Amino acid sequence: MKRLLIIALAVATVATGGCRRRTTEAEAYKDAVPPPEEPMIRAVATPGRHGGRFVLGQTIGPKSFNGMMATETSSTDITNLLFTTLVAFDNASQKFGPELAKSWEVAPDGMTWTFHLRKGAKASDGHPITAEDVLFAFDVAQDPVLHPYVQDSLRVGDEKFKVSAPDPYTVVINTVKPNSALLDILCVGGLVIMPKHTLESAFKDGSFASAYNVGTPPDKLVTTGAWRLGQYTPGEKVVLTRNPYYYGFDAQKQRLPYLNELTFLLVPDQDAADLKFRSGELDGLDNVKPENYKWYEEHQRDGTFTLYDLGPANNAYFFWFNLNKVQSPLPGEKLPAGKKVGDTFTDPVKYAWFNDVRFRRAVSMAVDRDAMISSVFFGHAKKNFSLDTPGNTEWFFPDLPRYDYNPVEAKRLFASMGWKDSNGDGVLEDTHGNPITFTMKTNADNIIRVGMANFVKDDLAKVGIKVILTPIDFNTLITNLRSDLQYDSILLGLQNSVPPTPGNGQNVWRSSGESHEWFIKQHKPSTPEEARMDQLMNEILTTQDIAAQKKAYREMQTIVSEQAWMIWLPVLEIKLPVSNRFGNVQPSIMAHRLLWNIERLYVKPRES
Amino acid sequence: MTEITPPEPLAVETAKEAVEVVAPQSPGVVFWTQMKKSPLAIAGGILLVFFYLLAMLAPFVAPYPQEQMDRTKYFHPPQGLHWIHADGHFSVRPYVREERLFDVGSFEYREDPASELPLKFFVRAGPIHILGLIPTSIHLYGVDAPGRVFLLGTDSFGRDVVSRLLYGSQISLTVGIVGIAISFTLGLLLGGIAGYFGGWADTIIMRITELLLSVPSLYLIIALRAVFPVDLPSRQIYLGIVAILAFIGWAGLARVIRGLVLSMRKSDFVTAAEALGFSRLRVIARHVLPNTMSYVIVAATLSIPGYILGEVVLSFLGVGVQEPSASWGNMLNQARSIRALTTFPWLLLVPGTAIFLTVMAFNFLGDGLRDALDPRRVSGGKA
Amino acid sequence: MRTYVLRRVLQTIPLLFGISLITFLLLQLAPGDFLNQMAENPGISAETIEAMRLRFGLDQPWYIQYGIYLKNVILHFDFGESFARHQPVFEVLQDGFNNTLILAGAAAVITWGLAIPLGVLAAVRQHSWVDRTLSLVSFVWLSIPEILAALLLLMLAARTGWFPVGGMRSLDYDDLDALGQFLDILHHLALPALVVGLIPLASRMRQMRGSLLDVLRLDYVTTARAKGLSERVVITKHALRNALNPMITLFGYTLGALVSGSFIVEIIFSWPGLGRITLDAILQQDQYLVMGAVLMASLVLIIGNLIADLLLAVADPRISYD
Repeated sequence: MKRLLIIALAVATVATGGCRRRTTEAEAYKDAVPPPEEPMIRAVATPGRHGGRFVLGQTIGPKSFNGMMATETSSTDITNLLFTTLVAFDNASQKFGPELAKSWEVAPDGMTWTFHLRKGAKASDGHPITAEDVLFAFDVAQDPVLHPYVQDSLRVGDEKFKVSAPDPYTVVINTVKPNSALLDILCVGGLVIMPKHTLESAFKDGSFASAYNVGTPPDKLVTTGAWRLGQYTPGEKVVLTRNPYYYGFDAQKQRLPYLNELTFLLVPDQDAADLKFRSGELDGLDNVKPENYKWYEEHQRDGTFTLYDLGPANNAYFFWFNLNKVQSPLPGEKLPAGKKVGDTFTDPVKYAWFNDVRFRRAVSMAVDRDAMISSVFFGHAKKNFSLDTPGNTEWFFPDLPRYDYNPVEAKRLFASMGWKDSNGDGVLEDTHGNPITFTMKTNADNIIRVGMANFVKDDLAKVGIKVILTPIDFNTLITNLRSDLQYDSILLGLQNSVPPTPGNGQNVWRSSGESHEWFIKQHKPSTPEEARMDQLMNEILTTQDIAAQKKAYREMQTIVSEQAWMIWLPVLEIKLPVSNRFGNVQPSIMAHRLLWNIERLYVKPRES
Repeated sequence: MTEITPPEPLAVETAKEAVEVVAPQSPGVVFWTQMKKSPLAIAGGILLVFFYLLAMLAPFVAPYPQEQMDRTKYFHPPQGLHWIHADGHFSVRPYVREERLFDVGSFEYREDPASELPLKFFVRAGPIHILGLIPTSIHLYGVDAPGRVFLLGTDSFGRDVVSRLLYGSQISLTVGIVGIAISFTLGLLLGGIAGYFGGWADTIIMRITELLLSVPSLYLIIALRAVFPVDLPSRQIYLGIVAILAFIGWAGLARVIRGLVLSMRKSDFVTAAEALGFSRLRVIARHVLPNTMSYVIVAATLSIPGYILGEVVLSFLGVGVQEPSASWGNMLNQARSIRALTTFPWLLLVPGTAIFLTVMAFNFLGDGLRDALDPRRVSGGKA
Repeated sequence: MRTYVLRRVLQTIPLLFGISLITFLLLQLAPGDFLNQMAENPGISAETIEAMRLRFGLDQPWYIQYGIYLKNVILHFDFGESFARHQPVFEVLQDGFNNTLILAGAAAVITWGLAIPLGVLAAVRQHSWVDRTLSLVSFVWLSIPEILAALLLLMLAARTGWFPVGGMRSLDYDDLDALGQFLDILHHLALPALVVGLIPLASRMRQMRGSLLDVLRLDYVTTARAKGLSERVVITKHALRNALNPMITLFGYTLGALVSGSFIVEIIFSWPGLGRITLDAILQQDQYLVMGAVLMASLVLIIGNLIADLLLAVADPRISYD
């Protein structure tokens, strides 16, 4: 043991003496590149200075640096910084603004959109970015073989949007039908502009999908956004450095980003990220487990960091019952084995319960959300009764109908359905004598979801319904949810996209949507209420009048609430710590909480 | 991954030694004289008997059902037992104090000094079935309602940790027993067949074991876990876990048994048995396998910790026994967070200690058994 | 000897074939496939997923997929591409493999560096308190669940700041000189290697002790003692050398387990090894990546066993392979 101790001690002493943080100190940056003809001036709270490094934790490493093909957030969080978009979405004001397009207008027909590109914009190798690159982006996005996920938003039915470039700095998009949601897919998270001059050959020879992969040398990875790739060590870190040609500036004519380096350190889980923040290795966390908020609240008094309270998250937890029915198969599809059109996927006995709005409302009223908040969320959650949360300043309606905790009323509703416990075993029976019991699935790796499901089970037992909890593997859950439809009820969460607009929620609200969870991909609306919702969605997409859009959306959300298809659970309040060494820190409740304005962060001068 | 592969390196070592060993001369006497020399092994054995008894009687010993929540008592710390009344007098019957949530955010509880909840034995509480058969509502201990007793605290749902530990032990302690029952049956049978018959049976069985042994066990577990339908009631998940572990475990044993049998086949007593016209199967079952028993007993004892720790690893990978059922593995893994470690340490330490003690007891017992069953070590010890 | 090695090498081919077939079958039996998880992302449509399924060849029946895989492996030595990373499988595994070897190597140094001297000590002082204490301590350590030990050490690192909280390199690694880089990795390596290394210590120590005790009973040792040589000389010059032979073989066998032995610890200590990559690949059903990882780990195991058998032949002249 002695030998071991000595080794350990030697290592400890050497390492504490040997570590130097070099790049964290601000260093003068000489901007050698002349500003473009039409620079983009970003408003900043405090003008910063160049230099320094910001280190952020990431639990899963990027899988690709190809902004067009990347699908999961671990990659897109980074590609969003590497590649520009036509328009910007400002997380703080929740409005669209200029980015590569300095301005745009829409013709009165609601279909013809004209974008004016910024003159002098350059990629990270100094090559100009023009309408050519935008057309290339559309070509790639609309390619039938590659089929990037953005493709489905760039067409109406089978008809693609028509795109043309009358001159190198003008792009005209014709959306075939009036489409008020076009900007939603031209900003962050939508169509990225990747440099045509480096990628065209790959596109032509069919290797585009594996171009810009994680093995591509950084100097070959030409980018169009504020950042470029500095270094990627698999399993360890991703380092982004500034794009010296970026067209964004502050009002003092200093080129953005201010920081020399943005580092994503890969950590195995949130707890590890937490420890690394506490030991000073990370400068900010964009996710903290609610159980750890208290530590940060107490320790921010030391003055090294601030815990920003962002309010309820921009996502919702809920559970729903399986109302899927077998539909007549589309060409190329087969009927599920042993089923015929009109059959239910759950037990028809259970379907009859689930399909009764009184049952769904009563279940919602049996759930004690306050108890969940104090246990599962450690007190850091708010009750909320829609997919949109208060952080969504444009589309959140606080006064929708709600079915909050009221076990007495829940029992009354069950009784009104003719259900009673006739054999005295504590479980209700329906009018045919079937005991009311169903299974609830959720993904086992999510402690918060399993915890809430535990409460639902306990709460429903109190009103005479037996819930069998089956936490399962996420992959299996998704198979149940999307393919085989084998479940009674599922508890999951949905994250609102950015921007959180009705147009981006079509997959949930339209009866034909993939995420219309209780009955997915309906060929035609199965209820009058869902037909009305489809109609309202069409109204929203065809009018440019915001007030009319809001009125329609409110009606749609009222229907969702009254039908209690989705039984809403509490929403986590987001608090996140960021080191006080940085200026212009303005975390947002929308996705990319810390990253959305990362190019405006700077290292504050030392106070001496 | 030492604790995954049931035939431990320890077991392999025994195998090597046992191969060279002939049956002990007066087994019973030698065994007991040797066992007495290792008090740790005896202590381990006693501890295990105690643990298994507790597991069998879990519903009776546990004051509450494992899933019962108390919504006023999340993260309740373990209650201290008091022996002195508030007025300074000694109390023959220990009591616990009612503790109330003092600070909601930090789950800080304060004792109510005025309250006394005397700990009573053989109290009436919820109906249960002891050993799954005897219906009763008598529990070993409890306090008068509405008071609650949490001798080892509660978890995030206000569930009694003692009760969860006891119900969890029914899973964690039997995983090993059922596991070795499966893997040893397979290993003995297939190893015996391979060693005794040789030829194509030997070739096929040995190729299969080679295949199983060539894939690192953890990779096999994870791959198997993906196949294994997780959409099952807890009890079946549990059986599935055991099956996975056992399926991986038998190959190593089969190889050792084959070696033992191979060396024994040549021995006089087998030749004699065959000469007397006994069938081959009978010779294997009645004469050859019993001679491998001392090795098997030791190997089995030393393999059980592998299964217990294997269950923990499966929970770590998210495929163990699922909520709301308890197992030591899932209790340990649910407490695997900074907050639990710093503020609610009992959530980690209670299952951690239970696993640690059990595994250690098995290791000591197995080690003692090995010394006791190995005659060469006896002489070696005296030299 | 040469024929033996050749035969053993040839034997691994059907073995690897069997392993690949089993792994592939298991992957196919698991519910869903790689594209499944994408279906959860609201932004990705069914058409996109169908298009990808076609592109990855996942629409084919499994035997066709496996056939194509085998053909590519045999004809082009092409082990496929990771679905998630769009990168050849071995490119993905390479760094992880090296890092795992570093951790496993350090752990082996700890295990054997402690096991041999302590085992000798225990054997020489058989039945003394030293012997008993050593055996007790090593058994106690053996009984601590790896996950618990790793977690507690990680917390210790966080509390005291003596060690980094996981990871393999500091952020400023690239700015350090060669010695600094070496020490930096060593600093990160200390705790995970300790956890991985101490687990097998109990058994190795006991094996060393047993092995030496066996030798000490042999005639030539008695002869040496009778000649009046000091006990120290008897042990170091004569007994130890022979007692080490079986340990060398054992070392070979454990070589093979190195790659998978640190799986859990790698994950807890964010060590960028094969563990994390493989676990993610399995969870995502990134099938060719899983195949590559399993084959690689199995190959190491097989090679380890081969080396062990050869070492045995070298160490023990009585054994010869033809």
